[in-house]
This record gives sequence, structure tokens and C-alpha cells, in this order.
Amino acid sequence: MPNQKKLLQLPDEELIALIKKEPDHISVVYKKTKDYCLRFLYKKSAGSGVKEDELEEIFHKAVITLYEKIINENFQLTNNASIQTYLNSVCRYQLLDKFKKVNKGFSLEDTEPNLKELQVDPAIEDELRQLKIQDEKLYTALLGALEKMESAGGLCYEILTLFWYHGKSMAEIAGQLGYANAETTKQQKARCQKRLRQMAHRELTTEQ
Amino acid sequence: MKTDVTIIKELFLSHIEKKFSFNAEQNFMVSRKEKPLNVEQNDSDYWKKLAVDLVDYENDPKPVYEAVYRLEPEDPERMIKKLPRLYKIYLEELAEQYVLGNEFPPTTRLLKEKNASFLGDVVFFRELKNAATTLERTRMIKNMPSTYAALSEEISEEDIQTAVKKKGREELLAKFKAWDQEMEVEKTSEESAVEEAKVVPSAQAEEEEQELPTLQTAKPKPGIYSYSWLYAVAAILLIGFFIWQPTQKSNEELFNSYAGSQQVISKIDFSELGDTENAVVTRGGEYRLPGLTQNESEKALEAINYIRQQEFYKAKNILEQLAPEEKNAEVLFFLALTQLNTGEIERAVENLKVLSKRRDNILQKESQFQLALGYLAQDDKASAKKLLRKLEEDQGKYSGEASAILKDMKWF
Repeated sequence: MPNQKKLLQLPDEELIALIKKEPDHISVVYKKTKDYCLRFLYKKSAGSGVKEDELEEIFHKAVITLYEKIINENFQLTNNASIQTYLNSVCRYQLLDKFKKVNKGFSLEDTEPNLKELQVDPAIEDELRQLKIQDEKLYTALLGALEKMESAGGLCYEILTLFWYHGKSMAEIAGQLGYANAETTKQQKARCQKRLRQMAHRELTTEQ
Repeated sequence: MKTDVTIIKELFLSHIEKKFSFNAEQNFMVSRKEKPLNVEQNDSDYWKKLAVDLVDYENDPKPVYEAVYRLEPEDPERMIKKLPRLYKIYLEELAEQYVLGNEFPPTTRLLKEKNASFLGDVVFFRELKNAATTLERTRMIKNMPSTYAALSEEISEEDIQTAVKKKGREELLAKFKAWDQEMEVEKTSEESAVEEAKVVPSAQAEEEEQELPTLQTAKPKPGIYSYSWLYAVAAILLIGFFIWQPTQKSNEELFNSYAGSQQVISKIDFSELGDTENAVVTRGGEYRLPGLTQNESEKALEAINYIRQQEFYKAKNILEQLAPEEKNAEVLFFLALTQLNTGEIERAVENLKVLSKRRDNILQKESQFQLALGYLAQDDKASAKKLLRKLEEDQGKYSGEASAILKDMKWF
């Protein structure tokens, strides 16, 4: 399959630029790096008591960490590192964190040359950004309201998540969802936000 | 990136009044050339000052009034009436930008003064961002393999499983068919055997009769079991299909497809408003809508023009000020239309209910169709269906849309 081959062979810098433009391309990173990362994690965690599904979760979090770095922080690879190196390093750092919780006595016992060979940069200590939830009730109500919006169909869920999570501008959303222009999209977003506010408010008042 | 200056500039310039007139010959609203704004439009000091002054609007509105007059809009007083709303939108936009990590001098001031409205917006947007992040992270992780498959045209595991299931179902159906045929053959051969036995009770028939119990023991009536199985599977598939209703659309999907769409807006006969029996011609040759003053008529027409451009918020702002409930049924219809398209469903339905029964309303069919959409938005399928059937039977201009919606509606 030529397309598949082409996507997997894209240089990392090009892939990062593509992800910035079209978030779906993060799945190429997922496909490209998963096997190596998981093998690395199995090897490093053998005998630690960390379960297989927890290792997979570590990998998933690492991919999302990379995605959020790309869309929010103008992420660039440093010191000729590859995406694989970055993800291995994030996975390793998260595994260390896991050991602290699951098995305090367990260590990775890796040496400098060994790390280089395994494509790991120990200086990378990135992890998935923790959400700072200040109003738990409102947050839960908004989660419920957004889920309802998504299951009901329509474009409100898309507009709101493209803006609030994927960091897209009104013009980009207009292009992606087929609105006439940024102004129309802005009006539609305001409408969706108002509706969401009402839905969440209704949920909060019903709770009380 | 947006700044406080770009926010305020966009906000004010989008609310500068355009003047509209009514062209009697064409029965059509015509937008006069927008009056050019004065130099303020490009004066960054002016906008910077206004960005700060508007923050203090509730305590000291005078500097904002002065700024409005300096802009020389068509109707400064009207613009001033809009200021509370513009102030609210401005605070919302500043809160949005603050949550996105952009802080401007007016934001710092609002934070320092602990402005309740602004802080409330910040909390809402912050938790909205958190909720969107949680849901999207989960969705992305779940969908990554299939997203990759779609991008690379690779066949995903999920697709393979679906295909295997489909293939399995096809094979099962083929088996059912084969069993049916076997049963037919058996039935026919049994019948002919009975017939033959009746006609020629020969020694061979006697032999067969003796052999039959042995054969039946070896293959015990396969048809009876196959049929019950077939019925059970068919019933499950049928029930599943009825519950899922994959070909039908939800009420919300239908509402979103029709409400405010260009196709529906273009069906409204705006020229009916200019009908000589309905409108009043003034000495100056301009139309005045019944129950409205000359000035109000112009405003109503301006709002209608906004509706034609699908700018429902702008239109609603104008129409609300006209309070058309007791004055003019058609103008009330346009207000209800804007309410329906700006999330005020209950108010829209209330107004449309009245309008769809009023005989003096020349937009009665329009009112009924919009009311049906309102019912859909409220998930009141029974009322929507009743009204849509009526419109369908009328064979009027909405019969096509009514039929299409009825066809696409979920069955229960």
C-alpha cells in the first residue's frame, strides 16, 4: 500500500508539521512507534509488578503528551533526536514514576551507553499535563453536557473541541467544517457555548 | 493571536449600524452603501483607550459614550443602548483569551478588581477546556488505530472483524437457503412417495416403508429445527434494526439540517411584506409596515436583511427592541425565527404557536414549519409529526421539506 508506506516513511519534522495541520496524523506516530516503545517497556519493567495494560496506558499517555506539545508549544526535536527517542524517553520517565507508586524498590538500572543504544534521552522528563480542576461539579456537568452534544450529532462538539483542545483558530475550523468564514464560525461557536452553558446549568440545578 | 485591541475593534465595528431602505419597485430591501467610518477606525490609541474604558463601563460609562460618538455611527443612541451587551461580550472574550493564556492590561484590571462576571466566565471556560481535554484525550487514544487505517487506506482490525461477521452472516444465510431447498426436496419426495404408495402398492414400496423409520432415526427432521432457529435469528436482527434505526436521523440532526439553513430561509417570501395591501405607503414613497412607525419599519427591514445573511444574533437584537408581539405578526415571526436559531427554543415555540393560528399572519405556513422545527428541538416528536403531516397534506411550499423530515425521522 503506497500511501501507508509513504506516511510511515515521512521524516519526523514533516510529520510534526502535518500533525500541527491535521491532528489525525498523530496516529502515524502511534503506528510507527508503538511496537518499539512497548518492547522497551516490557523489557524494563520485567519483574516489577507493573501490569501489561498499565504499560500500554503509559505508551498512550506518551503519544498524547507529544501531541499536546506539538499543538500547544511549538514542539521541536532537539539534538538530532527522533520521535521514537522522544517517546521512549517519555515512556521511561513515566515508568519510573509508576515504580514509585507500584514497586518502590524497583529501579531501571540503565547505564548511559545502554540508554543511547535503546534510543533514550534521560534529560527528557516530559509527562502528560495534569488538569487543574477547580470546580469539580461544573467540570462534571460540562463533561456530561459535551457527551450529550457529541451523541446527539451536529457540529457543536466538533467546534468546541477543535477550539478548546486542538487549539484551532476560527478560520481553520471554518475550513475544516465547511463554514462560510471565520465570522460565521465564531457566531456558531458562541451559540454552542451558550447551549452548553444552559445544559450544564440544568444538570447542576437538577443535582441540587 | 487576538489582543484586547483586536477584540474591541472587531466587536465595535461589527455593531456599527448600516442604513437600509425599502425599494418599492422591487419589493426588496436594499442596503445603502455603508457610510465610511472616520479616522478612528485605524487609530490604535483610540482603540487602546476604549479597550480599557469599556472595562470600567459599569462604574463610569461616560468615556465609552464619548468614544461611541467619535465613531460617528448612523444612530449613536442605539449603539449606546447596545453597550451593556457589548460589555458582556467583551468580558467573555477577555476571559476566553485569559484561559487560553493571553493576558492584556484590561484583564489584569478585571482580575485586580475581582470582577464577578469576568471571574465567572473564567471558571466556565477553564472547566470547559478541562472537559474538552479529558474527552478528546480518551477519544484520540480509542480511535488512533482506526484513524491510522483510514489515513493509510490500511484495513483495520475492526474492519476485518466486521467483514468476518458479514461473511459469517452471508454463509449462514446460504446455509438457511440450502436447508430450505433440502426441506422442499424432502417434502416433495415424501409426497410423491405417498402418492406412489397409493397408486402402486408394490413390494418396492413396502420395502421403502420399512426402511423409512431407519432413515428418520439417522436424520431427525432437520427442517423443523432449522426454521425455529432461522426465525429467532431473523427476529433478533429485526429488533436490532428497529432499535438502532441506522437510516433515520435524530431530532437534533433534523433540526440542525433545516433550522436557519439557506434553503429554508430562501423559501420565506420576504416580498410579501411589501404587498400594497399589507404595507402602508408614506408620502415620501417609502413603505411602512402596519403597526410600526417609519423608523421601526426601517429597523425591522434591516433585521430581516440580517436574517437573509443568517446573522441571527444581530437580527434578534434589533427585533427585540421593536417588541412586535402586539404590533405586527410578521415581524414577530422574524423575531421567533431568530430566537429559534439562537438557542431560545422555548420562547420561539411560544411565539410560533400563537403565530401559526393567527389568521392575520401572512407568513402562517412559514410559522407552522418553523414551529415543527421548534418541536423537534424540544424532542416533542408527536407534535412535530402532527404539524409536518398537515404541511405535507397541504401540498404547499413546505410539503417537500415536511415529507423529507417525516421520512428521515426516527420511528420511535
